Amino acid sequence: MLRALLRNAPLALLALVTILGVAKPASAAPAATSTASISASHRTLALGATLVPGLVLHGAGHYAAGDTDTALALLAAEGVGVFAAVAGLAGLAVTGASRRTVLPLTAVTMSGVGLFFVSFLADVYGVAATGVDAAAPAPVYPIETRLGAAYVYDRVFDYGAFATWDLELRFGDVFVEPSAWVALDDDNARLRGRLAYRLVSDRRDYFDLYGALTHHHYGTDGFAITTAEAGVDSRVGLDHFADSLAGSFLEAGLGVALEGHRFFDSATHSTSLLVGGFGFGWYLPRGEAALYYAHRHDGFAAGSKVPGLGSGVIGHVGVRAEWFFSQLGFEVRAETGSAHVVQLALAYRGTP
Amino acid sequence: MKRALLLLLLTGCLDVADLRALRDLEVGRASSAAVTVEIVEGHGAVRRIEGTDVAVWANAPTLEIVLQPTSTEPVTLTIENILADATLEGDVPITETNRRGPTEVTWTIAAAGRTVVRLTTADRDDLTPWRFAVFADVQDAIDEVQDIYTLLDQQGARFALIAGDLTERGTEEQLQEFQAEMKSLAIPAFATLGNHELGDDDELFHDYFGRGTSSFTFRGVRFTFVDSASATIAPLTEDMLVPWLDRPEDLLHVATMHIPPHDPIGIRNGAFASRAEASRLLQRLADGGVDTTFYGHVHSYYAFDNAGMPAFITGGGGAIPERMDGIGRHFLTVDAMPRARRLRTGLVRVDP
Repeated sequence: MLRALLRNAPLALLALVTILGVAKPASAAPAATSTASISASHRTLALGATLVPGLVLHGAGHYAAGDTDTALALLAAEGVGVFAAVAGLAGLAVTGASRRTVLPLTAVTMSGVGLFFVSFLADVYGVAATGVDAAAPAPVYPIETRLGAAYVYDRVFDYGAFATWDLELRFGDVFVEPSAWVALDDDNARLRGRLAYRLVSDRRDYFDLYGALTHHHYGTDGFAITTAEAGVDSRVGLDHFADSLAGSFLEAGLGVALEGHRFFDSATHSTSLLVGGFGFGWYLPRGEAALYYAHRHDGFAAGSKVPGLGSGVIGHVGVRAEWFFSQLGFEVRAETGSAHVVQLALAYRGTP
Repeated sequence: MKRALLLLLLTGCLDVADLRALRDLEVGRASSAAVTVEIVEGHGAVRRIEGTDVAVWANAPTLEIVLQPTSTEPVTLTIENILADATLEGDVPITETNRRGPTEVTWTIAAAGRTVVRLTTADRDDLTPWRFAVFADVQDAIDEVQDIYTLLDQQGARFALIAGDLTERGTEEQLQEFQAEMKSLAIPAFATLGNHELGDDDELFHDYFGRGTSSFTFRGVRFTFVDSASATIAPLTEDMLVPWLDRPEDLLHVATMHIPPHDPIGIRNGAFASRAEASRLLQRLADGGVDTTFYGHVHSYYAFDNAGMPAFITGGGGAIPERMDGIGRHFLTVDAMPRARRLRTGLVRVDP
């Protein structure tokens, strides 16, 4: 019953956009003024418009390219994003970030910021990539694994070089995903297991419930952090909203975690952690790439240190890309928050 | 120079708190054509130096000041924010010439060559039980701060600690106003800075109050302030902590900083940007014999444990309160019992 309800629910966290009616009707024909039909010089102009005035007025690139419907949809998404972010921040200020309301207000703020950035990136993508001949998403493979190396630049900790490994096993709608990062130059290791259940899936879109257990051992520094979390993860293809956005997708997630901090020579205490974030990505002919924000304050990148009043609240940002030349491929990832992280991995996936 | 440091900051080679840590090392030193002044360990800020006229804001109950006049003209030394019974001692003739309220005194010093004077009190080594107070987060409620000061003066505390966020944005006018309001207090208050002191210029605090990170001892208790205003501590700040944490001394140890390493309501993360860095600092403090930690930043009152150390958040100075917590404006009194190695903390509500 629950599954049926969720299958018919608005996909993921784009409900705000669909409520506003900016989504493309399922039967709509490709717009006559598609961004694909313009000349090279016109496209250059439209790309410029994605920045000026597009940084402020999202959708300006599509407008310059003649795709007014998508332009207005992106502008509306930006407006909703700004409204949600301002409303969330105002709520946090008025309530003094009360323990009773901080979770929904932070989630609203994060969703608003996410819509703001995604609407901007979608404008750039739609003008540059046009959606014509967009790469199709890869199918879900029963097994994927990556073996790699990473470097973490963190002025607080001694570690730097890591060996990394992760595995994704699919059993129907269930995903089992163990992973490990082990320092090569320090007594530090992060072991994680994630179990996900795919409630909604239509190849390119999904809505997952997940639980995860992470143990991060800081042997040199005399403590360890164990985290149990639960949440939702989702991906929505943006071709639902405009032809020019075919081949791009939005990712969003939200979850909460309980964190235990064990100090080897003294005691243990616990606290909670809000996890989640958003991302914008696009499919490549044999892979995909994405920019993302993760509202996590644990792990290697952790939260961002920013000048001025707001330090401590913001999570980290990252970029990842994967490309397969057969069943083998590469994944590269970079994140920046309290520390800077780069990872390069050799990837293998089985036959779908 | 500043541009070069800013560039290092932007490229990730410096953290947001590094420049303030460097600034800490300059605090308490100044010179004019007539005299050079050094406040040992930066336990105060030189607020004015004109000829042989020197004004100091004390940020510790006892001071050691080195004067190096270039002539035989006497040095006029005014020290603000001192204990009412503090005296100035040295090997040269010292005459009290003016007393403005209980916390400001001017002396004339017949300094000759390198002259060391010491601000001290008769009870500085007394190990009988005594009391201090802690408050934080006055911010934009400066117009109502006298409500707090009136109650504070009734507690029998020797002095107060301020765990940051004295002002709304740390402007020169706001810092001056805060110090002017303190004139009504019969006791001194020693402070570290909060994130709200970083609003306009994050070094102004040092000009008015002194170091963000410092340590002093008084009546069997070591007090350590840590600059955590950027939700992190600079590596240089961590180095500064070493002698205070590794010193084998039979003292109670109180650590005070603005942003707590961990927020007891972790999903809010009114805390360090990195959970791991937070635990690393807590492990260091616990290892170093810290008995109790005091924080601000969250505008409520929390009593909890971190790394086995009792922890108190006291953000009740008047800034927008955390709603629905039933706390309101408040401050803490702390009874120190050095011989029994005990600290007993009490909550004093300002609003009925």
